Amino acid sequence: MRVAATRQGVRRALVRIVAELRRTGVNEAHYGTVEIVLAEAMNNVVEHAYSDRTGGEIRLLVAHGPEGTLLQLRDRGAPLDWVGEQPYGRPPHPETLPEGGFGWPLIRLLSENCHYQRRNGENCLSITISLS
Amino acid sequence: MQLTTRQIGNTLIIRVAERRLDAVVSIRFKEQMREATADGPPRVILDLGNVTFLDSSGLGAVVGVHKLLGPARRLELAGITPNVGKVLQLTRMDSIFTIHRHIADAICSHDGAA
Repeated sequence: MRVAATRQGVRRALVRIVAELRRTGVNEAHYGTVEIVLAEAMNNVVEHAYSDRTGGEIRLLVAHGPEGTLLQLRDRGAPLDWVGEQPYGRPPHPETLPEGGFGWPLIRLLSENCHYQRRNGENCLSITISLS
Repeated sequence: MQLTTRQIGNTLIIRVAERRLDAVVSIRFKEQMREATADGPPRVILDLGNVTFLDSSGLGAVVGVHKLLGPARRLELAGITPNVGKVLQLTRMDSIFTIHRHIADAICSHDGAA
């Protein structure tokens, strides 16, 4: 699936993927989790990887099986500042009233595994979410 | 971005009419909340009963509104649906808001609100 790397493009893709997951009969908690993780991962691409240009695209693969859901996102934007397994990052402290910085911690807390590599000018993020 | 407001006693209740409070609408949401709460009563309840999806941008905007209200006023939340509750809980931002299950509980919980 090709997703326009815009906020609207991300929203449209999420609505479609959640509708597809729902049809597979998976429970609401699971597709809710997939929706949060995918939203944060795709919004990161829109806001950071493609922050300096428009017309970018995310190539998205969603594979659902008995053990859970695999997400793979590819884009040609700027690289992340880490490779391999997602580093541990604490959510910002609530008392500081943070208005951002929630995205990667949410991905980390909701996924079984999150792995990133950069190859041939392309970002590839693979995330697995177990069925709860 | 559609918000509906009503005032009961010294409480302003703002209902988000949208299903999604996400990166698409977060900036507009914050601006409209600023207008809706200007010169209003000290207690503001944000009714999220219609909202089935909140992302980190939407959450950031809710926190931003809380800050806009300043120390003399407060923002409370009501009508949290399961997936919105999950985001609030995992980020531990549920610890900074008073959260009511339903808007009716929120109104009843306050003396002199009627």
